[in-house]
Amino acid sequence: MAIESKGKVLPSSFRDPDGFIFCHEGFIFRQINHSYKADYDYLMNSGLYSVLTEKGLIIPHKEIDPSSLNNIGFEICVCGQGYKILRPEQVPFVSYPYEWCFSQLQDAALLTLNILKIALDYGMSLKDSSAYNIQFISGRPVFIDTVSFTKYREGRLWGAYRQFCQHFLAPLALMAYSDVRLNQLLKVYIDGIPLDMASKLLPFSTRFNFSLLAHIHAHAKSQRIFSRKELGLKNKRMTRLEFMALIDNLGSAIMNLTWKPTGTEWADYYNETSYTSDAMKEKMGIVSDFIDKIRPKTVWDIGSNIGLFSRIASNKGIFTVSFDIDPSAVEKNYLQVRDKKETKVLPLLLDLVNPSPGIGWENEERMSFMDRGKADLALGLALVHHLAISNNLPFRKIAAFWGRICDHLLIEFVPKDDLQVRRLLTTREDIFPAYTHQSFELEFKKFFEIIDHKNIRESERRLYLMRKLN
Amino acid sequence: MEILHHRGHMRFLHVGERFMRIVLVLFFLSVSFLFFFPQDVYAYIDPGTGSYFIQLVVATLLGILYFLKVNWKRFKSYLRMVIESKKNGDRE
Repeated sequence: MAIESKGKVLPSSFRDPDGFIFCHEGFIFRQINHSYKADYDYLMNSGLYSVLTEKGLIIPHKEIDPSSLNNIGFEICVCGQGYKILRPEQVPFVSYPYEWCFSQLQDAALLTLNILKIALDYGMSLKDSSAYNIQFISGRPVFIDTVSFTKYREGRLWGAYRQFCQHFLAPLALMAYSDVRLNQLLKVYIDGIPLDMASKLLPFSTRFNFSLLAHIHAHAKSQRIFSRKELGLKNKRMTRLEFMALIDNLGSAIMNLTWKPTGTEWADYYNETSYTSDAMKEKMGIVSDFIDKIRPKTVWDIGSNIGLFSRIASNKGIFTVSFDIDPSAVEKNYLQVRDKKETKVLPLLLDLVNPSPGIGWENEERMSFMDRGKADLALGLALVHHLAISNNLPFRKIAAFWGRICDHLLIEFVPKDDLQVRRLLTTREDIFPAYTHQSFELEFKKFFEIIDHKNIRESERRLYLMRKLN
Repeated sequence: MEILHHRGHMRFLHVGERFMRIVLVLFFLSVSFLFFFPQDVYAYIDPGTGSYFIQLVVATLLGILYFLKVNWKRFKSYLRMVIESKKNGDRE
Protein backbone atom coordinates (compact mmCIF):
# COMPACT_ATOMS: atom_id res chain seq x y z
CA MET A 1 0.00 0.00 0.00
CA ALA A 2 1.40 3.39 -0.95
CA ILE A 3 0.99 6.00 1.69
CA GLU A 4 1.73 9.59 2.41
CA SER A 5 1.23 11.24 5.73
CA LYS A 6 -0.71 14.43 6.04
CA GLY A 7 0.99 15.18 9.34
CA LYS A 8 3.06 18.33 9.55
CA VAL A 9 6.20 17.83 7.45
CA LEU A 10 9.17 19.36 9.25
CA PRO A 11 10.64 22.37 7.40
CA SER A 12 14.12 20.80 7.60
CA SER A 13 13.01 17.78 5.60
CA PHE A 14 12.92 18.65 1.93
CA ARG A 15 16.34 18.02 0.41
CA ASP A 16 16.22 14.26 0.12
CA PRO A 17 13.58 12.93 -2.30
CA ASP A 18 13.82 9.49 -0.66
CA GLY A 19 11.73 10.43 2.36
CA PHE A 20 10.79 13.07 4.89
CA ILE A 21 10.15 13.65 8.56
CA PHE A 22 6.77 14.65 9.89
CA CYS A 23 5.34 15.44 13.26
CA HIS A 24 2.02 14.06 14.47
CA GLU A 25 0.55 14.57 17.91
CA GLY A 26 3.93 15.53 19.28
CA PHE A 27 5.78 12.51 17.87
CA ILE A 28 8.28 12.42 15.05
CA PHE A 29 7.80 9.95 12.18
CA ARG A 30 9.75 9.29 9.01
CA GLN A 31 8.25 8.37 5.67
CA ILE A 32 10.33 6.25 3.32
CA ASN A 33 9.46 6.86 -0.31
CA HIS A 34 9.30 4.20 -3.01
CA SER A 35 12.41 5.71 -4.60
CA TYR A 36 14.35 4.45 -1.53
CA LYS A 37 12.69 1.01 -1.39
CA ALA A 38 15.67 -0.98 -2.69
CA ASP A 39 18.18 0.76 -0.41
CA TYR A 40 15.91 0.59 2.63
CA ASP A 41 15.23 -3.11 2.17
CA TYR A 42 18.94 -3.74 1.71
CA LEU A 43 19.77 -1.75 4.87
CA MET A 44 17.26 -3.75 6.88
CA ASN A 45 17.95 -7.19 5.40
CA SER A 46 21.75 -7.07 5.03
CA GLY A 47 22.27 -7.03 8.80
CA LEU A 48 23.72 -3.51 8.71
CA TYR A 49 20.78 -1.91 10.53
CA SER A 50 20.95 -4.54 13.29
CA VAL A 51 24.69 -4.10 13.77
CA LEU A 52 24.49 -0.32 13.88
CA THR A 53 21.54 -0.23 16.29
CA GLU A 54 23.09 -2.88 18.54
CA LYS A 55 26.20 -0.72 18.79
CA GLY A 56 23.99 2.31 19.49
CA LEU A 57 25.41 4.15 16.46
CA ILE A 58 22.15 4.86 14.62
CA ILE A 59 18.69 5.60 15.87
CA PRO A 60 16.43 2.56 16.14
CA HIS A 61 12.95 2.67 14.64
CA LYS A 62 9.77 0.67 14.39
CA GLU A 63 7.90 0.26 11.17
CA ILE A 64 4.32 1.40 11.54
CA ASP A 65 1.81 -0.80 9.76
CA PRO A 66 0.04 1.59 7.37
CA SER A 67 -3.29 -0.15 7.79
CA SER A 68 -3.17 0.42 11.55
CA LEU A 69 -2.41 4.11 11.27
CA ASN A 70 -5.98 5.13 10.50
CA ASN A 71 -7.19 3.25 13.52
CA ILE A 72 -4.97 5.21 15.83
CA GLY A 73 -6.01 8.47 14.32
CA PHE A 74 -3.34 9.31 11.72
CA GLU A 75 -4.53 11.09 8.66
CA ILE A 76 -2.96 9.28 5.77
CA CYS A 77 -3.86 9.13 2.15
CA VAL A 78 -2.98 6.80 -0.66
CA CYS A 79 -0.36 8.37 -2.84
CA GLY A 80 2.31 7.23 -5.25
CA GLN A 81 5.30 8.10 -3.06
CA GLY A 82 5.10 6.37 0.28
CA TYR A 83 6.65 2.97 0.96
CA LYS A 84 7.00 2.77 4.75
CA ILE A 85 6.37 4.89 7.77
CA LEU A 86 8.86 4.60 10.59
CA ARG A 87 8.59 5.72 14.16
CA PRO A 88 12.17 6.38 15.29
CA GLU A 89 13.22 6.64 18.91
CA GLN A 90 12.40 10.20 19.90
CA VAL A 91 15.21 12.72 20.36
CA PRO A 92 14.74 14.38 23.76
CA PHE A 93 16.21 17.72 22.72
CA VAL A 94 17.23 18.69 19.18
CA SER A 95 20.61 20.42 19.02
CA TYR A 96 22.75 21.71 16.17
CA PRO A 97 26.48 21.67 15.40
CA TYR A 98 26.93 25.34 16.28
CA GLU A 99 25.70 24.49 19.77
CA TRP A 100 28.24 21.71 20.29
CA CYS A 101 31.62 22.01 21.92
CA PHE A 102 34.82 20.86 20.22
CA SER A 103 34.66 17.25 21.44
CA GLN A 104 30.98 16.90 20.59
CA LEU A 105 31.65 17.91 16.98
CA GLN A 106 34.73 15.69 16.88
CA ASP A 107 32.79 12.69 18.20
CA ALA A 108 30.02 13.37 15.67
CA ALA A 109 32.61 13.38 12.86
CA LEU A 110 34.20 10.13 14.06
CA LEU A 111 30.78 8.54 14.37
CA THR A 112 30.01 9.43 10.75
CA LEU A 113 33.27 7.86 9.54
CA ASN A 114 32.83 4.85 11.78
CA ILE A 115 29.35 4.20 10.38
CA LEU A 116 30.68 4.62 6.85
CA LYS A 117 33.40 2.03 7.48
CA ILE A 118 30.93 -0.48 8.88
CA ALA A 119 28.47 0.25 6.08
CA LEU A 120 31.15 -0.53 3.49
CA ASP A 121 31.63 -3.97 5.02
CA TYR A 122 27.95 -4.61 4.34
CA GLY A 123 28.05 -3.18 0.82
CA MET A 124 26.59 0.21 1.62
CA SER A 125 27.86 3.77 1.75
CA LEU A 126 26.60 7.16 2.96
CA LYS A 127 25.16 9.47 0.33
CA ASP A 128 25.57 12.51 2.58
CA SER A 129 27.62 13.41 5.62
CA SER A 130 25.81 16.36 7.12
CA ALA A 131 26.52 17.23 10.74
CA TYR A 132 22.74 17.66 11.07
CA ASN A 133 22.44 13.88 10.66
CA ILE A 134 23.71 13.58 14.21
CA GLN A 135 21.90 14.18 17.48
CA PHE A 136 23.06 13.62 21.04
CA ILE A 137 20.97 11.00 22.83
CA SER A 138 21.80 9.57 26.26
CA GLY A 139 25.12 11.35 26.36
CA ARG A 140 26.46 10.17 23.01
CA PRO A 141 26.17 11.08 19.35
CA VAL A 142 23.70 9.03 17.34
CA PHE A 143 23.16 9.02 13.57
CA ILE A 144 19.49 9.81 12.91
CA ASP A 145 19.14 9.90 9.12
CA THR A 146 17.97 6.42 8.14
CA VAL A 147 17.73 7.33 4.44
CA SER A 148 21.41 8.34 4.18
CA PHE A 149 22.47 4.77 3.41
CA THR A 150 22.87 3.78 -0.19
CA LYS A 151 24.20 0.67 -1.92
CA TYR A 152 27.93 0.96 -2.55
CA ARG A 153 28.92 0.62 -6.16
CA GLU A 154 32.52 -0.45 -6.59
CA GLY A 155 34.61 2.30 -8.10
CA ARG A 156 32.30 5.20 -7.34
CA LEU A 157 33.69 8.39 -5.87
CA TRP A 158 32.25 9.43 -2.50
CA GLY A 159 29.64 12.11 -3.18
CA ALA A 160 29.64 13.29 0.43
CA TYR A 161 33.38 14.06 0.61
CA ARG A 162 32.96 17.82 0.15
CA GLN A 163 30.17 17.91 2.72
CA PHE A 164 32.25 16.02 5.27
CA CYS A 165 35.11 18.49 4.87
CA GLN A 166 32.78 21.48 5.20
CA HIS A 167 30.65 20.17 8.07
CA PHE A 168 33.32 18.53 10.18
CA LEU A 169 36.96 18.86 9.18
CA ALA A 170 36.99 22.60 8.43
CA PRO A 171 35.18 23.74 11.61
CA LEU A 172 37.21 21.39 13.81
CA ALA A 173 40.49 22.53 12.23
CA LEU A 174 39.48 26.17 12.73
CA MET A 175 38.52 25.50 16.34
CA ALA A 176 41.79 23.68 16.99
CA TYR A 177 44.19 25.98 15.14
CA SER A 178 42.54 29.41 14.96
CA ASP A 179 39.82 30.07 17.51
CA VAL A 180 37.37 27.72 19.18
CA ARG A 181 34.54 30.22 18.63
CA LEU A 182 34.80 29.84 14.86
CA ASN A 183 32.32 26.96 15.06
CA GLN A 184 29.78 29.80 15.12
CA LEU A 185 30.39 30.15 11.36
CA LEU A 186 28.19 27.07 11.03
CA LYS A 187 25.29 29.31 12.01
CA VAL A 188 25.96 31.46 8.96
CA TYR A 189 26.82 28.67 6.51
CA ILE A 190 24.18 25.99 6.81
CA ASP A 191 26.02 23.60 4.48
CA GLY A 192 29.27 23.84 6.37
CA ILE A 193 32.14 26.29 6.32
CA PRO A 194 33.25 27.13 2.75
CA LEU A 195 36.66 25.59 2.27
CA ASP A 196 38.21 28.66 0.67
CA MET A 197 37.25 30.60 3.80
CA ALA A 198 38.62 27.89 6.09
CA SER A 199 41.82 27.86 4.05
CA LYS A 200 42.23 31.62 4.50
CA LEU A 201 41.49 31.58 8.21
CA LEU A 202 43.75 28.66 9.12
CA PRO A 203 47.37 29.47 10.03
CA PHE A 204 49.99 28.97 7.33
CA SER A 205 51.58 26.15 9.31
CA THR A 206 48.54 23.93 8.66
CA ARG A 207 49.75 23.65 5.05
CA PHE A 208 52.52 21.39 6.38
CA ASN A 209 49.97 18.98 7.80
CA PHE A 210 49.26 16.56 4.95
CA SER A 211 45.60 15.94 5.77
CA LEU A 212 44.74 19.63 6.16
CA LEU A 213 46.79 20.51 3.08
CA ALA A 214 44.94 17.93 1.01
CA HIS A 215 41.38 18.08 2.38
CA ILE A 216 41.14 21.81 3.00
CA HIS A 217 43.80 23.93 1.27
CA ALA A 218 44.24 21.93 -1.95
CA HIS A 219 40.54 21.05 -1.91
CA ALA A 220 39.63 24.76 -1.83
CA LYS A 221 42.05 25.50 -4.63
CA SER A 222 40.69 22.63 -6.68
CA GLN A 223 37.14 23.91 -6.19
CA ARG A 224 38.19 27.28 -7.56
CA ILE A 225 40.10 25.91 -10.52
CA PHE A 226 37.39 23.50 -11.62
CA SER A 227 34.34 25.53 -10.65
CA ARG A 228 33.33 26.26 -14.21
CA LYS A 229 34.83 23.26 -15.94
CA GLU A 230 33.48 19.88 -16.87
CA LEU A 231 36.10 17.21 -16.46
CA GLY A 232 34.06 14.13 -17.25
CA LEU A 233 34.87 12.68 -13.84
CA LYS A 234 31.82 10.44 -13.93
CA ASN A 235 33.86 7.70 -15.53
CA LYS A 236 36.72 8.03 -13.05
CA ARG A 237 37.00 5.28 -10.52
CA MET A 238 38.07 5.14 -6.92
CA THR A 239 38.80 1.60 -5.78
CA ARG A 240 37.47 0.27 -2.49
CA LEU A 241 41.01 0.34 -1.13
CA GLU A 242 41.35 4.00 -2.06
CA PHE A 243 37.97 4.72 -0.46
CA MET A 244 39.09 2.97 2.74
CA ALA A 245 42.35 4.95 2.64
CA LEU A 246 40.40 8.20 2.30
CA ILE A 247 38.16 7.35 5.27
CA ASP A 248 41.18 6.28 7.29
CA ASN A 249 43.01 9.51 6.57
CA LEU A 250 39.98 11.68 7.32
CA GLY A 251 39.62 9.78 10.60
CA SER A 252 43.21 10.36 11.63
CA ALA A 253 42.95 14.01 10.54
CA ILE A 254 39.93 14.49 12.80
CA MET A 255 41.50 12.66 15.72
CA ASN A 256 44.77 14.54 15.50
CA LEU A 257 42.94 17.82 16.04
CA THR A 258 42.96 18.78 19.70
CA TRP A 259 41.71 21.65 21.77
CA LYS A 260 42.14 22.07 25.50
CA PRO A 261 39.74 24.15 27.58
CA THR A 262 41.91 26.45 29.66
CA GLY A 263 42.09 29.99 30.97
CA THR A 264 38.57 31.10 30.23
CA GLU A 265 35.79 33.09 31.75
CA TRP A 266 34.14 30.38 33.81
CA ALA A 267 36.55 27.47 33.82
CA ASP A 268 37.76 28.34 37.33
CA TYR A 269 34.54 29.97 38.45
CA TYR A 270 33.84 27.66 41.36
CA ASN A 271 37.27 28.41 42.79
CA GLU A 272 36.50 32.10 43.10
CA THR A 273 32.79 32.47 43.71
CA SER A 274 31.01 34.50 46.33
CA TYR A 275 30.20 31.32 48.18
CA THR A 276 31.92 29.73 51.10
CA SER A 277 31.89 25.95 50.93
CA ASP A 278 29.09 25.85 53.54
CA ALA A 279 26.99 28.31 51.59
CA MET A 280 27.57 26.31 48.43
CA LYS A 281 26.45 23.13 50.17
CA GLU A 282 23.38 24.92 51.44
CA LYS A 283 22.58 26.25 47.98
CA MET A 284 22.88 22.76 46.51
CA GLY A 285 20.56 21.43 49.20
CA ILE A 286 17.94 24.10 48.47
CA VAL A 287 18.15 23.45 44.72
CA SER A 288 17.71 19.73 45.35
CA ASP A 289 14.68 20.31 47.62
CA PHE A 290 13.07 22.68 45.13
CA ILE A 291 13.55 20.15 42.30
CA ASP A 292 11.93 17.47 44.48
CA LYS A 293 8.95 19.76 45.04
CA ILE A 294 8.31 20.10 41.30
CA ARG A 295 9.37 16.61 40.14
CA PRO A 296 9.99 17.79 36.58
CA LYS A 297 10.54 15.49 33.61
CA THR A 298 12.85 17.96 31.90
CA VAL A 299 15.20 20.57 33.32
CA TRP A 300 17.02 23.29 31.40
CA ASP A 301 19.93 24.67 33.39
CA ILE A 302 20.75 27.98 31.74
CA GLY A 303 24.15 29.40 32.55
CA SER A 304 25.17 26.03 33.91
CA ASN A 305 28.94 26.52 33.83
CA ILE A 306 30.40 22.98 33.97
CA GLY A 307 27.06 21.53 35.10
CA LEU A 308 27.39 21.25 38.87
CA PHE A 309 23.73 22.07 39.48
CA SER A 310 22.58 20.27 36.32
CA ARG A 311 23.80 17.08 37.95
CA ILE A 312 21.59 17.58 40.97
CA ALA A 313 18.69 17.15 38.55
CA SER A 314 20.26 14.51 36.29
CA ASN A 315 21.30 12.38 39.27
CA LYS A 316 17.60 12.18 40.12
CA GLY A 317 17.05 10.63 36.66
CA ILE A 318 15.73 13.86 35.14
CA PHE A 319 16.78 14.69 31.57
CA THR A 320 18.72 17.94 31.87
CA VAL A 321 19.98 20.25 29.15
CA SER A 322 22.97 22.14 30.48
CA PHE A 323 23.51 25.40 28.59
CA ASP A 324 26.45 27.76 28.86
CA ILE A 325 28.01 30.51 26.78
CA ASP A 326 31.58 29.45 27.52
CA PRO A 327 33.08 26.85 25.12
CA SER A 328 35.51 25.71 27.83
CA ALA A 329 32.76 25.10 30.36
CA VAL A 330 30.68 23.15 27.83
CA GLU A 331 33.74 21.15 26.79
CA LYS A 332 34.50 20.21 30.42
CA ASN A 333 30.86 19.39 30.98
CA TYR A 334 30.73 17.11 27.91
CA LEU A 335 34.01 15.39 28.78
CA GLN A 336 32.51 14.52 32.15
CA VAL A 337 29.39 13.17 30.45
CA ARG A 338 31.58 11.07 28.17
CA ASP A 339 34.02 9.86 30.80
CA LYS A 340 31.36 8.93 33.34
CA LYS A 341 28.93 7.65 30.69
CA GLU A 342 26.22 9.95 31.97
CA THR A 343 22.99 9.57 30.04
CA LYS A 344 20.81 12.33 31.45
CA VAL A 345 22.88 15.47 30.78
CA LEU A 346 23.17 17.24 27.44
CA PRO A 347 25.73 20.09 27.56
CA LEU A 348 25.22 22.75 24.89
CA LEU A 349 26.60 26.13 23.92
CA LEU A 350 24.14 28.99 24.21
CA ASP A 351 24.55 32.73 24.28
CA LEU A 352 21.37 33.65 26.09
CA VAL A 353 21.42 37.27 24.99
CA ASN A 354 21.74 36.16 21.36
CA PRO A 355 20.34 32.60 21.25
CA SER A 356 20.41 30.36 18.16
CA PRO A 357 18.10 31.83 15.52
CA GLY A 358 15.98 29.93 13.01
CA ILE A 359 18.23 29.41 9.99
CA GLY A 360 17.99 28.02 6.47
CA TRP A 361 15.13 28.24 4.02
CA GLU A 362 12.42 30.61 5.27
CA ASN A 363 14.32 30.69 8.57
CA GLU A 364 12.73 27.35 9.36
CA GLU A 365 15.18 24.59 8.47
CA ARG A 366 16.88 24.71 11.85
CA MET A 367 14.79 25.77 14.79
CA SER A 368 15.54 28.79 16.89
CA PHE A 369 16.25 28.21 20.56
CA MET A 370 12.87 29.66 21.49
CA ASP A 371 11.09 27.22 19.13
CA ARG A 372 12.45 24.12 20.78
CA GLY A 373 9.73 23.61 23.32
CA LYS A 374 9.58 24.27 27.02
CA ALA A 375 11.18 22.81 30.10
CA ASP A 376 9.14 21.59 33.05
CA LEU A 377 11.67 23.41 35.18
CA ALA A 378 14.31 25.96 34.23
CA LEU A 379 17.26 26.84 36.45
CA GLY A 380 18.64 30.36 36.34
CA LEU A 381 21.37 30.30 38.96
CA ALA A 382 23.82 33.18 39.33
CA LEU A 383 22.58 34.55 36.04
CA VAL A 384 20.21 37.46 36.63
CA HIS A 385 22.94 39.99 37.39
CA HIS A 386 24.66 39.18 34.10
CA LEU A 387 21.44 39.76 32.18
CA ALA A 388 20.34 42.86 34.09
CA ILE A 389 23.67 44.60 34.63
CA SER A 390 26.04 43.34 31.92
CA ASN A 391 23.33 43.44 29.25
CA ASN A 392 21.07 46.20 30.54
CA LEU A 393 18.01 43.95 30.36
CA PRO A 394 15.09 45.23 32.45
CA PHE A 395 13.54 42.70 34.88
CA ARG A 396 10.32 42.94 32.85
CA LYS A 397 12.04 41.46 29.80
CA ILE A 398 13.95 38.88 31.80
CA ALA A 399 10.76 37.66 33.47
CA ALA A 400 8.90 37.52 30.13
CA PHE A 401 11.70 35.37 28.67
CA TRP A 402 11.54 32.77 31.44
CA GLY A 403 7.77 32.79 31.09
CA ARG A 404 8.16 31.59 27.49
CA ILE A 405 10.59 28.74 28.10
CA CYS A 406 9.38 26.97 31.24
CA ASP A 407 6.44 25.99 33.43
CA HIS A 408 8.46 26.26 36.64
CA LEU A 409 11.45 28.40 37.44
CA LEU A 410 14.18 28.11 40.03
CA ILE A 411 15.99 31.42 39.92
CA GLU A 412 18.61 33.13 42.03
CA PHE A 413 18.63 36.83 42.77
CA VAL A 414 22.10 38.25 43.30
CA PRO A 415 21.91 41.63 45.07
CA LYS A 416 24.00 44.69 44.35
CA ASP A 417 26.28 44.32 47.33
CA ASP A 418 27.34 40.84 46.24
CA LEU A 419 31.00 40.53 45.22
CA GLN A 420 30.12 39.42 41.68
CA VAL A 421 27.75 42.34 41.08
CA ARG A 422 30.25 44.81 42.54
CA ARG A 423 32.79 43.45 40.05
CA LEU A 424 30.38 44.07 37.18
CA LEU A 425 29.88 47.64 38.37
CA THR A 426 33.54 48.54 38.96
CA THR A 427 34.11 49.78 35.43
CA ARG A 428 30.76 51.33 34.70
CA GLU A 429 28.27 53.77 36.05
CA ASP A 430 25.52 52.33 38.22
CA ILE A 431 22.42 53.09 36.16
CA PHE A 432 20.38 50.39 37.84
CA PRO A 433 18.45 51.98 40.72
CA ALA A 434 15.65 49.43 40.18
CA TYR A 435 17.97 46.47 40.72
CA THR A 436 16.39 45.36 44.03
CA HIS A 437 14.64 42.31 45.48
CA GLN A 438 11.39 44.23 45.46
CA SER A 439 11.29 45.20 41.80
CA PHE A 440 12.61 41.76 40.83
CA GLU A 441 9.68 40.08 42.60
CA LEU A 442 7.21 42.65 41.28
CA GLU A 443 8.12 41.99 37.64
CA PHE A 444 8.36 38.21 37.97
CA LYS A 445 4.95 38.08 39.66
CA LYS A 446 3.44 39.30 36.38
CA PHE A 447 4.37 35.92 34.84
CA PHE A 448 4.89 33.60 37.79
CA GLU A 449 3.52 32.72 41.18
CA ILE A 450 6.28 32.56 43.77
CA ILE A 451 5.88 29.18 45.48
CA ASP A 452 8.84 29.42 47.79
CA HIS A 453 11.99 31.39 48.42
CA LYS A 454 15.03 30.89 50.60
CA ASN A 455 17.99 33.06 51.53
CA ILE A 456 21.42 31.54 51.37
CA ARG A 457 23.40 31.99 54.56
CA GLU A 458 26.70 33.87 54.51
CA SER A 459 25.60 35.55 51.31
CA GLU A 460 22.97 38.07 50.34
CA ARG A 461 21.62 35.86 47.62
CA ARG A 462 18.10 34.47 47.45
CA LEU A 463 16.65 31.46 45.62
CA TYR A 464 13.08 31.56 44.32
CA LEU A 465 10.86 28.73 43.18
CA MET A 466 8.10 29.91 40.85
CA ARG A 467 5.20 28.47 38.90
CA LYS A 468 4.07 29.94 35.58
CA LEU A 469 0.72 31.75 35.75
CA ASN A 470 -1.90 30.34 33.40
CA MET B 1 31.80 4.75 24.29
CA GLU B 2 31.47 2.96 21.02
CA ILE B 3 33.22 5.59 18.96
CA LEU B 4 36.12 5.54 21.36
CA HIS B 5 36.51 1.82 20.87
CA HIS B 6 36.76 2.48 17.20
CA ARG B 7 39.28 5.25 17.57
CA GLY B 8 42.03 2.65 17.65
CA HIS B 9 41.12 1.47 14.19
CA MET B 10 41.50 4.95 12.81
CA ARG B 11 45.23 5.05 13.52
CA PHE B 12 47.00 5.74 10.32
CA LEU B 13 50.71 5.79 9.89
CA HIS B 14 52.96 3.97 12.33
CA VAL B 15 56.36 5.19 13.37
CA GLY B 16 58.08 3.15 10.71
CA GLU B 17 55.97 4.81 8.05
CA ARG B 18 56.83 8.38 8.96
CA PHE B 19 59.31 8.44 6.15
CA MET B 20 56.49 7.85 3.67
CA ARG B 21 54.49 10.62 5.29
CA ILE B 22 57.33 13.09 4.84
CA VAL B 23 57.72 12.02 1.22
CA LEU B 24 54.01 12.49 0.72
CA VAL B 25 53.97 15.99 2.21
CA LEU B 26 56.98 17.05 0.16
CA PHE B 27 55.42 15.65 -3.00
CA PHE B 28 52.15 17.35 -2.29
CA LEU B 29 53.84 20.63 -1.47
CA SER B 30 55.83 20.52 -4.68
CA VAL B 31 52.84 19.87 -6.93
CA SER B 32 50.47 22.14 -5.09
CA PHE B 33 52.47 25.33 -4.62
CA LEU B 34 49.76 27.04 -6.60
CA PHE B 35 47.23 25.86 -4.09
CA PHE B 36 48.62 27.98 -1.30
CA PHE B 37 46.51 31.04 -1.89
CA PRO B 38 43.01 30.10 -2.90
CA GLN B 39 40.72 32.80 -4.19
CA ASP B 40 37.08 33.23 -3.26
CA VAL B 41 34.53 30.61 -4.24
CA TYR B 42 31.05 32.06 -4.26
CA ALA B 43 28.06 30.01 -3.36
CA TYR B 44 26.25 30.11 -6.68
CA ILE B 45 28.92 27.90 -8.19
CA ASP B 46 28.60 24.20 -7.60
CA PRO B 47 32.02 23.14 -6.39
CA GLY B 48 31.36 19.46 -7.01
CA THR B 49 33.85 19.02 -9.82
CA GLY B 50 36.76 20.43 -7.83
CA SER B 51 35.88 18.25 -4.85
CA TYR B 52 35.72 15.17 -7.05
CA PHE B 53 39.04 15.99 -8.66
CA ILE B 54 40.90 16.46 -5.40
CA GLN B 55 39.24 13.37 -4.01
CA LEU B 56 40.59 11.33 -6.90
CA VAL B 57 44.11 12.70 -6.50
CA VAL B 58 44.20 12.36 -2.72
CA ALA B 59 42.56 8.93 -2.68
CA THR B 60 45.05 7.64 -5.23
CA LEU B 61 48.00 8.81 -3.14
CA LEU B 62 46.45 7.59 0.09
CA GLY B 63 45.53 4.30 -1.56
CA ILE B 64 49.18 3.59 -2.26
CA LEU B 65 50.11 4.39 1.33
CA TYR B 66 47.19 2.41 2.68
CA PHE B 67 48.25 -0.56 0.59
CA LEU B 68 51.77 -0.24 1.99
CA LYS B 69 50.41 0.11 5.51
CA VAL B 70 48.25 -2.99 5.24
CA ASN B 71 51.06 -4.93 3.61
CA TRP B 72 53.95 -3.21 5.41
CA LYS B 73 55.62 -6.35 6.69
CA ARG B 74 55.35 -8.06 3.33
CA PHE B 75 56.69 -4.92 1.63
CA LYS B 76 59.66 -4.74 4.00
CA SER B 77 60.60 -8.37 3.48
CA TYR B 78 60.20 -7.90 -0.26
CA LEU B 79 62.52 -4.89 -0.17
CA ARG B 80 65.04 -6.80 1.92
CA MET B 81 64.89 -9.68 -0.53
CA VAL B 82 65.45 -7.37 -3.50
CA ILE B 83 68.37 -5.57 -1.79
CA GLU B 84 69.99 -8.80 -0.68
CA SER B 85 69.64 -10.43 -4.06
CA LYS B 86 71.14 -7.33 -5.63
CA LYS B 87 74.07 -7.45 -3.18
CA ASN B 88 74.58 -11.12 -3.92
CA GLY B 89 74.40 -10.34 -7.62
CA ASP B 90 77.05 -7.61 -7.24
CA ARG B 91 79.38 -9.99 -5.40
CA GLU B 92 79.06 -12.53 -8.08
